Amino acid sequence: MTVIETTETRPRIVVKRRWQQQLLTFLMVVGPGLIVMEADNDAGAVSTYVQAGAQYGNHLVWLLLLLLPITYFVQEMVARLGIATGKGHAAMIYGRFGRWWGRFSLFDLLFVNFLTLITEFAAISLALSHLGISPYIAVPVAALGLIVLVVTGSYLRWERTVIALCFVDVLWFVLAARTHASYGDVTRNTLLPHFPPGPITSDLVFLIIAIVGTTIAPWQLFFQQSCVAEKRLRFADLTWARLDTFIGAIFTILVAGAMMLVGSYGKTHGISFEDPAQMADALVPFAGEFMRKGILLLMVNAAVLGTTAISLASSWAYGEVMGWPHSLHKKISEAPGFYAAYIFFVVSAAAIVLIPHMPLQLVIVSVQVLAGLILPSAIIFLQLLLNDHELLGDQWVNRKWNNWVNWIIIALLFALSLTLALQVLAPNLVHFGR
Amino acid sequence: MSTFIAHCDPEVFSVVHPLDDRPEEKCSDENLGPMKMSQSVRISLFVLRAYLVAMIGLVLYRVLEVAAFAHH
Repeated sequence: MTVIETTETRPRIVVKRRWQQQLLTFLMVVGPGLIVMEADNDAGAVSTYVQAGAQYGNHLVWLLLLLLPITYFVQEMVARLGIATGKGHAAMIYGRFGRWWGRFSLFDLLFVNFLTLITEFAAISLALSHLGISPYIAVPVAALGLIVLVVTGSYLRWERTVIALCFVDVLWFVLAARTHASYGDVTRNTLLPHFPPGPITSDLVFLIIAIVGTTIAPWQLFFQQSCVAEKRLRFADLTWARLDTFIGAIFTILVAGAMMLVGSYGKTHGISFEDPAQMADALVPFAGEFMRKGILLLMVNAAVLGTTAISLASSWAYGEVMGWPHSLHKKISEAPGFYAAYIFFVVSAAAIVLIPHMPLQLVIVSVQVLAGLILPSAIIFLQLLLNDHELLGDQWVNRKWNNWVNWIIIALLFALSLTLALQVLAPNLVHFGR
Repeated sequence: MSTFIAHCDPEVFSVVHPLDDRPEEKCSDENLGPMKMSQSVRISLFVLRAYLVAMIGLVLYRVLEVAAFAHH
């Protein structure tokens, strides 16, 4: 393999085998899909999946398998739109649906994202306080680290660091293996969709909506498209971007499943807890210090991944709508508004978490539900954009089967949203055996 | 696509990182303006807007309800 400089000043790597060329191209393209998927296993996701395992054992693992194709189909559309237009999602909504919808979508995104950021810092505070570090040290240091990660003026440096953090999540598999779950049970509960034994309660429905909300979140649409545009992926990279997204989807679903198994381990030992950090402490007599420290550090990792991706999704979207320079390739002096937005989101969310007596577990579940509610409408815009022949021509628009699959996804998500709405409005009318 | 062109030796393949490659001409919306929508799509989007506002209100209501219950 040789790196050569040509007269065109484009550094090329020359290889002798076609498979080497394909592998290298994939390795150069990989990133946005993997990051968007794994960053979705953020602090709220850890809490939701662990809670699902703790309450219902392995009985909801099948839901993750069901969400795998859904999350892939949605994100594939985003990657395709990003490659075809070279622009972010907020910019496309603003450009094709006008200023009102552009700002409305931006407000929705920023609102949910900001609430989510609070939950990320809450998790950092919670996990590190269980490791003996004061929140008044842990949270500001984490915020500072997250700012430094982004302001270096290099997209690739940020991307490589974040990919490394994504791979730290492999540790969830180690923790899941230490629970000694029955592989037969897990396989059966994965392949056969069913409700857990007992009545279908409001809490169960709420939890299912929260799982959907955390597995496919609105910020992911904005993040991946901006990330693809930032990385300047080419038309020829689409196949590899799809593979990147698919691998990311499989990885994130496997990690989510591992989280449920860890939560289920708590149920097996009759442990009751309000958050994963409490569970980590309570598991020590059964699984040892490694399990405790592993869960707590993975909570921090999940929160860091979530924070950097979500803050960037907000900052990119804000920069796109405001027409500001918005790129990690630029220095702070070249894109002051973009970096100021990122720093503002990170610092203010961190500051709110330091306010005493915040009902954080409630905020975490509510954010997942809110994201689940907003998601179908976000996908409708995506669907309309992917059918925009005037913009994309015939080559990049959705095929007929794409549209069918996506309308089914949208219908399912709306059904879940309406179920939640009915539950809130008329809990006695919609009887779930509460 | 220049990335995949073998230079001189047909048995040699070259790879260029996307960030080092020449910019491509993308599908641009700059001269298109807002998307042309039928009346039914326009109405659907208006309903969607109302739905979103209502849903956000409902979630906030639920959160306040649960928070008040937990407080007592």
